[in-house]
Amino acid sequence: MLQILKRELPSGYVRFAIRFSAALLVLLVIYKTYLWFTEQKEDLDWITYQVSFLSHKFAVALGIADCEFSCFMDGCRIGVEGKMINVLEGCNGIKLAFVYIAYLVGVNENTRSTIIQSIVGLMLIQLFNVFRIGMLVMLMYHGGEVYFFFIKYIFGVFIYGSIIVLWLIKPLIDKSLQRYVQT
Amino acid sequence: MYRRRFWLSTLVMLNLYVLLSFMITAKNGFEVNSIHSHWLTVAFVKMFFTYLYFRLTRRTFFQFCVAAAMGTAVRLGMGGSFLAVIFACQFYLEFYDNPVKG
Repeated sequence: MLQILKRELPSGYVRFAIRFSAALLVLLVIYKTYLWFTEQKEDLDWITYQVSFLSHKFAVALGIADCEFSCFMDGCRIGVEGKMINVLEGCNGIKLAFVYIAYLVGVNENTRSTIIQSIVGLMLIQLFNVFRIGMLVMLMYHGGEVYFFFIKYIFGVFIYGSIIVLWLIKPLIDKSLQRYVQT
Repeated sequence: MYRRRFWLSTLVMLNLYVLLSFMITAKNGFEVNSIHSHWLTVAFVKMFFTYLYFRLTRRTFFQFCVAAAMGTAVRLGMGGSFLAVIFACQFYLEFYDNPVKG
């Protein structure tokens, strides 16, 4: 059985799987611990609050002048009266960002590059998420018929697509960073 | 040719997966609890999609098993994204593990 496994699984893939899983586990455990502490304090977590706050600012910038913003222990509500959307902890996109970072750790070729790309990627994914929630507020405000299609389909593809693009440009960023370090 | 097959499969997988999520919510509404009634069926469908995705991109059964086990552990254990884990494995296999030009 072990020999079949050795033959079938390239060692690089096993190494990637272990590194990826370990990195993701560490990140998720830290995040869950942080969530537990905020729950104990009966507070909303900082990431969900910031994503909601920036989404509200973005929605106002898009032209929804009377856009309201209120936060509770379980999440925030953004929009105009009667057409509010709920931004809960699961909507903050941090778990997807963790998968992105775990992938970088899994294929790790250069530690410095991995750290830089993790920070930049995390911020970019959150920016994509802010754009997504801001657009959802906008869609809810202007009718709301296509809102359901957008929240479950278009933006689902959009957020996964953004991570795929970041993974794709990783070799290019690695090369640029290497050139930068050499010069 | 191989690369084209990979991209096409990834595009189909992404759309199928998100479409499934869309259909479930369209049927049940936004209440999460109502999905739990047939979560096992949905899990099997997702696993089947993943298997097809690995077959289409010419991966081995063991590679599929490792990816599926990782995805399931992340989803059930920590509430993370199953699809993102599957994509991570596929992207590693495509671009870092004996990459093919095409």
